[in-house]
Amino acid sequence: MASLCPNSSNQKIENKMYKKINKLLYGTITLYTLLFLINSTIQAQNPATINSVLEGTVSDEATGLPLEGANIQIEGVTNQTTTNSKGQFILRTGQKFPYNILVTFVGYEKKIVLADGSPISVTLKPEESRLDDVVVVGYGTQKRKDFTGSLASVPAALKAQLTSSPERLLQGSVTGVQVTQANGQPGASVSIRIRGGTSINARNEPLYVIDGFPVYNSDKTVNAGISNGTSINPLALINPSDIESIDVLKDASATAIYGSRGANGVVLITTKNGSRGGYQVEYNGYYGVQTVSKTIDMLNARQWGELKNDALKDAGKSPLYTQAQLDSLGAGTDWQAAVFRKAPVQNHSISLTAGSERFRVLLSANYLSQDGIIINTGFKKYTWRLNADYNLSERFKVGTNISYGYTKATLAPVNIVYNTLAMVPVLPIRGADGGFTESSAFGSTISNPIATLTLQTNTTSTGRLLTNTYAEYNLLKDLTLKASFGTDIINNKQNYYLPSELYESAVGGRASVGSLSTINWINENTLTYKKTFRENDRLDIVVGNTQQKSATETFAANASNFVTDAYTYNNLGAASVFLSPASGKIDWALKSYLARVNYGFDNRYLLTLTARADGSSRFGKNKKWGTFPSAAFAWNINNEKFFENIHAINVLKLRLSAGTTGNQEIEPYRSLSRLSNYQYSFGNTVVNGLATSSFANADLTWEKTAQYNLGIDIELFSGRMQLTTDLYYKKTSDLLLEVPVPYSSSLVSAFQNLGMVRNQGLEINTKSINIDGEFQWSTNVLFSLNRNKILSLGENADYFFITDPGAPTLLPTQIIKVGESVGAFYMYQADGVDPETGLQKYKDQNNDGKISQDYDRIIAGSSQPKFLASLLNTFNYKGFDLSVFLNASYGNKVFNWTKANLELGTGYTGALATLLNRWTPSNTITDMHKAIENPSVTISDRFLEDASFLRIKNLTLGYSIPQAALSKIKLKNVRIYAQASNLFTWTRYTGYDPEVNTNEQNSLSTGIDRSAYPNAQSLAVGLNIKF
Amino acid sequence: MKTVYIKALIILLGFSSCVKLDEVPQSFISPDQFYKTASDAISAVNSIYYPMIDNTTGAQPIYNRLLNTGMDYMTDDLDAGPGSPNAEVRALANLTHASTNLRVQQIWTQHYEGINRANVALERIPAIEMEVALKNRLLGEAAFLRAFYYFNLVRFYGAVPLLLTDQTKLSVPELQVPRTPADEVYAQIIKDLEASANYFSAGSSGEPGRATRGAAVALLSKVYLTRRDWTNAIKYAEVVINGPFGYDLFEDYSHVFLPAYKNGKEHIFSAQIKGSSISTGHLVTPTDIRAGVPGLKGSYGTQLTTYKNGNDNYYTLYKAYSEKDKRKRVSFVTSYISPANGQKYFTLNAPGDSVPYVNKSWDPNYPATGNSDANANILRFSEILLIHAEAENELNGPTAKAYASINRVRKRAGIDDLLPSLSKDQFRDAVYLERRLELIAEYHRYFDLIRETGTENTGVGPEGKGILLKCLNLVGKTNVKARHYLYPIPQGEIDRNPQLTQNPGWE
Repeated sequence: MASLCPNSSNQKIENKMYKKINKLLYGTITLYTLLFLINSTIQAQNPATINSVLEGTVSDEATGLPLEGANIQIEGVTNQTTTNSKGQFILRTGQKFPYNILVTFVGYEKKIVLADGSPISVTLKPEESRLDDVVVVGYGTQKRKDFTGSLASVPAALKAQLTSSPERLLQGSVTGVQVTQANGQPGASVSIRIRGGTSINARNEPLYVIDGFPVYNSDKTVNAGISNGTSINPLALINPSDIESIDVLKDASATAIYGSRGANGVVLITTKNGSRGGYQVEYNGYYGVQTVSKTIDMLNARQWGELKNDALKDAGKSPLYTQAQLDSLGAGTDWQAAVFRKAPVQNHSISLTAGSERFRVLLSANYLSQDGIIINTGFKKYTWRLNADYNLSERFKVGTNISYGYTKATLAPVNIVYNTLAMVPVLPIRGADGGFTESSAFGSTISNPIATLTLQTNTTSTGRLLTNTYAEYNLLKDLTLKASFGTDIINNKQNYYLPSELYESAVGGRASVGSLSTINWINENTLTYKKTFRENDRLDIVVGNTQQKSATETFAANASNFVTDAYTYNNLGAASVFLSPASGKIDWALKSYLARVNYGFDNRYLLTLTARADGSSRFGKNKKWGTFPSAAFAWNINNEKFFENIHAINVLKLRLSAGTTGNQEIEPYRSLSRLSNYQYSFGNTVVNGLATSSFANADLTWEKTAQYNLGIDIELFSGRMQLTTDLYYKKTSDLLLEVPVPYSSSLVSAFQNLGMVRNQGLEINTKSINIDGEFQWSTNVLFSLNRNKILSLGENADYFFITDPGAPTLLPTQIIKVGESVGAFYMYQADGVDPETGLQKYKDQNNDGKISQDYDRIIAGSSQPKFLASLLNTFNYKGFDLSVFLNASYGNKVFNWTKANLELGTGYTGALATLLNRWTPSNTITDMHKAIENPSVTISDRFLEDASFLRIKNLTLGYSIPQAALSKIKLKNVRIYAQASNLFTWTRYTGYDPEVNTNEQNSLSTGIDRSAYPNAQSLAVGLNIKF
Repeated sequence: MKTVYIKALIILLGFSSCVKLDEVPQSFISPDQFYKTASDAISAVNSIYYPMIDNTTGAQPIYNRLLNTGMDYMTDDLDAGPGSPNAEVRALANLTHASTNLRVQQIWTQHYEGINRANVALERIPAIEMEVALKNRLLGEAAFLRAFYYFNLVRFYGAVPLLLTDQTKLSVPELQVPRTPADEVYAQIIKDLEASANYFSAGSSGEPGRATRGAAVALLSKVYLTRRDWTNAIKYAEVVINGPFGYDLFEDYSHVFLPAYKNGKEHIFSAQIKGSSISTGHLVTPTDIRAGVPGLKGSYGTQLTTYKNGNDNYYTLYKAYSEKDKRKRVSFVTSYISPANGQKYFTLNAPGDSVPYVNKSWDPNYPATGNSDANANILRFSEILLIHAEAENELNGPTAKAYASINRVRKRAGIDDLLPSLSKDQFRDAVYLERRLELIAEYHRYFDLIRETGTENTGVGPEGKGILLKCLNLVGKTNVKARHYLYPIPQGEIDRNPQLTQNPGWE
């Protein structure tokens, strides 16, 4: 044991440090040191003694931070010790090396280590989603094994995906959650459905609770309505690397504590904080390149010229091109190649965490710069965060979470991709004089997308300050009072300028600016009583009240005809034509009382009763208040006596819950009759008119969702295999429904509580550690199935058509109909091409010999998937880690407007390459109609495509440099990694990407691809350093 | 111990709430706060005009393109151009449209928007304390507009629900009412117009562009003409022609359409359109302009119907104008000078370019944009002259009075007087042709097609009336059927109101 001797002097030096750091531990450590010195002496004097002294450290495997209070025990004997605040321990024992020690620490996987000498360094791995975990639930935390509801967390391997906003991490990583990206605009909004959409006209997004602050993620909250393009995601303001955990509450028992806002599920986002003891600085950065994952095959110039001639000939007109001209057209311009580009993305995050006995803090900053794959589009983001808490005394604790984020997006206008494809390939991007070709005008006029993207100013920028500060006081040992106050302050500014050179602009250019500012505050007060009886009976009661208020002000101004383009949007006063300015104010408020009782009997029977009463300003004056109760029961069968001898099954838990939650997500003031402004002019003088634009409904109230859940959790072979499965039934009644009224009333609908929607489904989540040891392989399989059905729309109607907000003047493609799902498509059924005439045929559904809108349209599918599935495999070997994440959607349809518009064969616009196989007098047996200037019926299921897909969503390969090499350069952890996202997609969808939703968060009109900004695939390399 | 719990609860609930749940809107008002002052009354009346030229849903407004795509394209004058790829519009232009057609529904919806606002005004304004002359004027406008909207509706759809009270205060079942026979609707129209004229007689005058007593009288004349009540049609037409209103023809036909002359002596009632400052200018303008001229923002949504006539494969109405008819050069353009490069584009008779373009809403103040302040004419003096000529001919034959009125229109156009000593039928045909040439693209042709009594030359329609089938077949719109004498009741409205029945042939 001579090797120990040099350590003794070090130990003395460190002892001095201990005094400074922690006087409380001083005595203990000194004692240990003395014992250790004595022991060394004894050993030196008497080598025959079979005692050994084991010295070592215990740290967190992931963060490298020391773990204080970890337990070290020699296997099979009672001799044990715990680590100090630096994670160090000394174990004196009569045992001789080698022996096994068992290292345990709450929240970490236990580890058995062979001790064959001193010192020893032990790292513990945080427990991932094991049933012993503590999970965040509304207004508190609970042990997972005591939890009675349905909750799912994003696995750690998927939390590390490179993304611009946190809720995108839910995609494929949690059962029962469908995530749809609106499009590939960097920073674009995301639409999320948890267990299907409960509503028809109210919004269906879940409630987000960010460090206790409830946020409804409507993309309208950061949209002043001026810039032209997709909405930007409000949650992009949260730095994904700050996130500790994302938990999704799904059933009524789990969500009822959020009452009126729980019906569409709740996503709890908890951010990191410092650890007690020491500090750590972490840098995380990556650089990547994004590309468009595919391009659409279009006719080239010569092929298009032939199509144009054919269409003219068909109309009895003379051809546009002679044969010689056709021959000289060549390939022409590839507009897609000019619009899409390789776009870099880079992200840098740095965080400092520190903590002591009484104080914890996290400080972080993040910068993201993501260029779009469409030229001159992109997204930049800057975020800062301070999380801190401080124990003023044994009984009194205060804490705060403050984050500020600023994003700025340069947008692609909504029609830019359509314009790219519709530009005729015979036109050059720039004319001989170097100026842009203004437009394509071979019948339909399309403005030059390169000119638009190059010359426009089209930005939206948002600053968001989210704070939540609390004080917690233990009135008694078991009784805690907590009060919190939070604010959410949003400022959005949008700038838009189209210089006069652009076709879509006005004479002298057109400028608009708009701003939106919101102040939202919340106060929550809870009283928690926690008591354990008879060792294993636990009672946990929470009661509380909350109040929240939000005020939003908007302003917009437009002007045109400037002397110069130099001002862009910065000098509206210099214009000579002014459009009416607009301003508005929207307030809403919510008041609530909540209560929850958890009772656990003998770790076997668990009961949860929850109730929340909410009063919302948004509802009619007669019915502002609603109460949302729920009950849940769980049975830990594995803790029963009769289960004692079944060792293979560690956990067998049955969960049952029932309850009611609500939905209030309608625009404020919808219960009031409103006079709207209608302007007219007399002899060029503008006058104002006012008229009623909505019915009053003093009885307008909550939409209620009753939900029943049956769940089973199973863990086998010491946690090597885990299975969670849930079966649910959700029935939403008193829908907040825009009940269609006769148009002769002058209004379109009356907002009423009417109708029913049902969602039912199955969720299966399995996790397994297939191979454990030095090489580790684990697998997660997720499967979710949801069936949505409209049960009733009230007495007046059993269907109504949906106006596609992107095309109010076109025949609707979707219908809301009793017996069908929300998102059902309704259209003609294509029936091949007539070999005689070359015209598209449609199926005569009622066999009356003609094709009519009234009788020959059918339900042709739904935008809702039949099931979602994903598969995550992670491998670890020595310092290497590899994860492969696949996700799939099956059975959902997308209406491909791009195809519907570009396969017309009119010769008015650019055209799809599929028209090469068109009907001609010499090619009569084909499924592609002839070139025709006037195709009459066009909206058919020909363009309704199966958008099922399987994709390699994410593939990450990382390497962590061994600890031994790092300690020399004083680093705790260095990991380098490469990550590919959207690497490959298998789909039959012919548009850019099957994951598309042009109408963004719209509840009604889903599954529409109106030439959306395509999603990118990306490759990135990253570096993570901790010191 | 217990007291601690009680104290804690008191503390908890003691966070007294400063949040109120009552909604007090600040950026809009509700009807019960309104209809109290003279300016409220003016606003209420202004809102009745709005559906003519604008729409909040993004749909085309009635006199700002909806009647262009939803009616004129269906006639033998106009057709959907290359810039109208919308299948709904093309269906109408081909007469293959169904009762679910969006234009069919939008025409219905937007007229009832105007009607209910008129109902509100007529219900609320009498109770407002205000200057009597102003009150009378406003009631006159509201009554006129209600009659005007119903007059369109009854001609499009036949029997329609005749609603005369504010519908937005009713419950959903109360909104479901059956159709009122067309005769009763016409009776109400006449009643409203007579009331309107009386209100105006005791009313003050408003800004040019508002409905006036002259407009009420002129519309009465037109309603009576449609009802084939020739005596009253003549009577009211003569009040307009000889009465105190000062109406006359512009000397220059182009002034009828140029924004500089809007609300002039020939304009009896027009949908007031102003570009730029409100959300919309004249939306028909860019659709009339041929696409592909650098610097011009034409979408070429509208084109003249072309058909084979004799040896001419590209015959259009354009060719029916005589060369000296000044209306030919005003109503159409055949080529464009590019504001960008000064070059001339699309000369007539170039191969494939033999279609002229309608030019009635062009605004020279916006040479490059396709924007326009041009009003949409609804009632103008020359039409009243033609109504007078027609009714006089029907009642008394081609009298001197009838000749005088039609020749007044022809003279301004720069063409010769009508040949004397025409037969009654010949004179009728001449009036109809004159209406077509004078009023093309001003939303009259469909109504004329379903109104005209057949003659030997024009052929007869079903039940011995009308020329709709013959005229549309002539231009190749062979899908036309007898059912097209009426629009279908929108299927969406029947779904919403089960009391409604469908029109014959549309079931």
